[in-house]
Amino acid sequence: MIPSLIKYLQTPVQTNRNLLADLSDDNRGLPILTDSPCHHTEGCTLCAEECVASAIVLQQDREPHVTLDLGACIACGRCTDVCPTGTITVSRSTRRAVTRRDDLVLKSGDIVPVPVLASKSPFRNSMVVRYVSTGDNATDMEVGACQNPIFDVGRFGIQFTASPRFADALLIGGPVPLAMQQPLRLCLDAMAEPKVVIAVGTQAITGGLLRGRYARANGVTTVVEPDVWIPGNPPHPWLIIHGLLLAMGNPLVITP
Amino acid sequence: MIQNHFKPAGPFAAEEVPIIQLRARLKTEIQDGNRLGLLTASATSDGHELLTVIISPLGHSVRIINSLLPHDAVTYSSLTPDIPQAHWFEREIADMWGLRPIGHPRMKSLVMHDSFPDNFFPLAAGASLPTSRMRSRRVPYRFTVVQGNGVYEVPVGPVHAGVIEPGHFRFSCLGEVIENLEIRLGFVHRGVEEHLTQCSWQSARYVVEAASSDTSAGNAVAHAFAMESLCGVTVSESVRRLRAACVEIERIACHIGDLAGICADIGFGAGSSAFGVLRAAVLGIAELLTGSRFMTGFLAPFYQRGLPDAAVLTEAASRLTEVGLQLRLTLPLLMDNAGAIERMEGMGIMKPSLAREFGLVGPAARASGIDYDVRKALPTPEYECIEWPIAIWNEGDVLARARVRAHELATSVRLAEALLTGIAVVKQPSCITRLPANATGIGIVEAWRGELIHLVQTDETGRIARYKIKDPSFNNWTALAVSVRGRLLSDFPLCNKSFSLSYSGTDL
Amino acid sequence: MSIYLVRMAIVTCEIVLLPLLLIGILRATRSRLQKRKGPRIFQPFYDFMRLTRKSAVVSEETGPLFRGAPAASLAALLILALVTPWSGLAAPISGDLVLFVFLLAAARMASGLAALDTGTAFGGLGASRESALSILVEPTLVLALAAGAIYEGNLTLNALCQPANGRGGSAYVMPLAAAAIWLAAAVETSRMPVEDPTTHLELTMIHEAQMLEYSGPRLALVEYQSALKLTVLYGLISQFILNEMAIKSSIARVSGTFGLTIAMVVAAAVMDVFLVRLHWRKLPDLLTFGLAFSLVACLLAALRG
Repeated sequence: MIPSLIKYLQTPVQTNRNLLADLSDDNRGLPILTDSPCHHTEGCTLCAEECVASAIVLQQDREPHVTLDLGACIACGRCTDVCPTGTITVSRSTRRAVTRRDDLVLKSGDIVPVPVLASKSPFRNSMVVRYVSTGDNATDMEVGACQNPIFDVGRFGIQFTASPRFADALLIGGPVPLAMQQPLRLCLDAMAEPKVVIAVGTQAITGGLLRGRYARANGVTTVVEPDVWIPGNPPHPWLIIHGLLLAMGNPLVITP
Repeated sequence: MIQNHFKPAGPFAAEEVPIIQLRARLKTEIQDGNRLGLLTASATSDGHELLTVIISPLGHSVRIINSLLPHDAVTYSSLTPDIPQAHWFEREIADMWGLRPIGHPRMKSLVMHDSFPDNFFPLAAGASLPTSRMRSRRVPYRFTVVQGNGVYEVPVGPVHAGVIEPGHFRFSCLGEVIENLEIRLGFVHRGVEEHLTQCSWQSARYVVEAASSDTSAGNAVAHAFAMESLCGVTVSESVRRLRAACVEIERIACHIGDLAGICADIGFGAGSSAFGVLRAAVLGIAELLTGSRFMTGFLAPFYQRGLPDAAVLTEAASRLTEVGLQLRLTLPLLMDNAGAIERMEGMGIMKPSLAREFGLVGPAARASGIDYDVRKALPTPEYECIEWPIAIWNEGDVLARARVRAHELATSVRLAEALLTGIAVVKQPSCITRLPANATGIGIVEAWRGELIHLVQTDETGRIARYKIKDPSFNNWTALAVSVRGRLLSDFPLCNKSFSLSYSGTDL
Repeated sequence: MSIYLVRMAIVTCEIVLLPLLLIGILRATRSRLQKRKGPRIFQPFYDFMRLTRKSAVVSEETGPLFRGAPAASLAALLILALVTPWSGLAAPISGDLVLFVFLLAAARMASGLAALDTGTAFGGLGASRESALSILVEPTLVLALAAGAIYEGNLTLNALCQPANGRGGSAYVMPLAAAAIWLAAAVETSRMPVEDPTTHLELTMIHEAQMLEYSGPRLALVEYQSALKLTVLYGLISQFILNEMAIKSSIARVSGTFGLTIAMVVAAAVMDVFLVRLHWRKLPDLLTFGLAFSLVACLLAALRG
């Protein structure tokens, strides 16, 4: 006990000061679409065939192109492995949370949208978050990891709370199956205005692989339209923190 | 060294037992020291059958018992009165298939909620959820009422205060003392088993990882074993070692996370901080090996894409050694802390006799003196790369469960190091293009919560017709409810954390 | 008169600013001890401002008790802050130790009744636990303050910061009384090892469980009150220690109080991080120590006096 305590006391502060740093090179990251020309027009359908989550769609309208819905992507990395032209490639950026659902649907040659922050956000310096888990416990663990000394969301003025009455933000993970829809509604109603809703993880955004079945695990939108969307399966703590800062209107999300 | 290795691949011994003899048969099996692995139902050409998986820890073998139900029968005689561990299985079968056990002592729904329409049984043939605005006519779920002067109820959940999964706890209390706890699950019932029969078998591996996504590696490996046993193929030793290493790394990360949770629940901030930092290091190793902190989308049946190269394996092994050293220095913060020990000792006791009756698995079982670990009961060669002890404590309290975890951490670090050093990079292409018809496969893994079973059956066209996942938590929930009886209300969170159960794995 | 006004001004400033600042220091220290960077020291002010700008959700089950309680308990605690010489200066209003204990109890009663008014299981639990503990704490507080009063030969609280005899070396009366109040303060301000202030587990909460239904501006008031209570109690403990050190000049006492209060806040942070929360059934044992300390302090004071 005593040597352990001494060792603990000697440990320096563990908090990672490299804010929203890119993921390590080991990580598969999330895909992005570059503007490198795609062979789709020549009949290449490899990525869409490989995609088990039906996230990649070959659009046939006016001008054929490929779209990739990060809200359905389970980050398996199969599309980036097969793409012969490097149109779909890996991005290890942790700044992937968005405020509009459409921004999650990537198109070739898209510029990564820079979020526009509300000029007067009520939560810029302080935000209390209530987390509701609806069936994706890896995301629960990553949200929990945001509170560990390494990521330490507390330093941005973010606290997690036990009561919806205290909360400003509702963070929802998991695909919101039928039996969780009513409890989620009640939780939302128990929160005082102003409030924001954040969907965290692919399962929360669309239900992921489990969508479209009898249990109606089709994501948060069956109950409420989120203000911030955080992709990832499960999202890395930095991605979650990026989403939280976005919800706060914290300028840290713009200036690196 | 055990001579007769359990062979996960190949046909299992299967036998037919008439449904009227099943109860007596299971009773003798359990008296003989065998385990009821899982009990479920399946559709046949002529109605339904009950499937029982019997695990023999002494004989290192697994058997399946099929019991045909008479044509059109929707009831059968309940097994629970003689075999207590069947009680949740039977409730689940009733929910999913509409087969009612007659004589079940406490029959009520388990995973299907009042929000689903009445007489909707997702797995029964021809089941479909009305798409129109449906009105539930279900008999509302009724909690057990404890009567007496001064007894009051404390409802908790389904949305919990912490960053944990949803479930409802109904405490009946007398003052601060818990007289009864009823656990209502099913809030995260997502229809995983039905989905697995609808998707292609190639994408099934991604779906099983979402069954309880904190056990991605465990589920992926159990799925791989089940699919390989279905097809009767084996993979190379390197692949098997890599799988075992992934399961061990997941165990290390999650056990450390549980210890951090125990520290947080007793208000010991230094401990939760130290363990939290250590857990991040383990997740870093998982990321290095598999490209994902939770090892998702990596392990596959029949083959292994992207075996890590030698440099990565060496790096992972050396990082594991470092984690082992850090663990040795950090564990005493909790395990030798007099205040913490006092808080955990005698708390939430699960008696060995009861633990046996309920068929507990995993660290909770080993803390109640049950000598059961799939890695020993169904031994495979990769787990014999080193000698390792099985961690057993007899007290059955929170302290014993913490000690089992602490002990297993050291074992798992050694095991994972040894497993990683024996992996040779040999590409093994997938040789399976279609699944055999009318076959059955079982995969059993000691995941970090305990015995995890996947059972897969194909129909005559080679499609997956039945997929059953038995999460380790399924066996242990009852133990949590029983172990807090007579304890104080404020002790419940600590007891709960010491069992550390999965809601989504149980609800599926 | 002008001295009275200056005193009043200083105390008012401290009442407004110090409580939240102390909470900020406490949280920052706790974060450092947990090896994290942690929030800014002024974070509680940001939190307070955010809450005042929010609307409130009030359950239809609640009545006027729930709505009025934060104001009522705030009134009680503000009077408490005005009758107690916790800043090192004589309190603007003169009061005695019975009033002190009464005001604490009045604030507690208001929040307890409000918690019962919500009709939730947690509110009831919290109220019941808090009142059970208060029965154990009150004798300690009364006796510890009485020891000081007997020693100084004056029942008013102000006597504590204007030591009449100023002898110092009180033969353990003052340190023992200070220790007793420190233990009582752990209960009154819901700190470790009695209650984990960082916990999210409703089932283990005592004081916190009573406040779960509050939102918006009322929640801001409730949070400010617990900070104010902590400030007053730690300031009062400082007076006992300063008396032991026989410090008389006003400036030395004010700065000494400030320093000691911060030291106590840091000590509270250390306890938050390194102690294990006691089992509910072990709490009476802890409080027995407090009672024993204050009893012995009383006896010694009576012998000396």
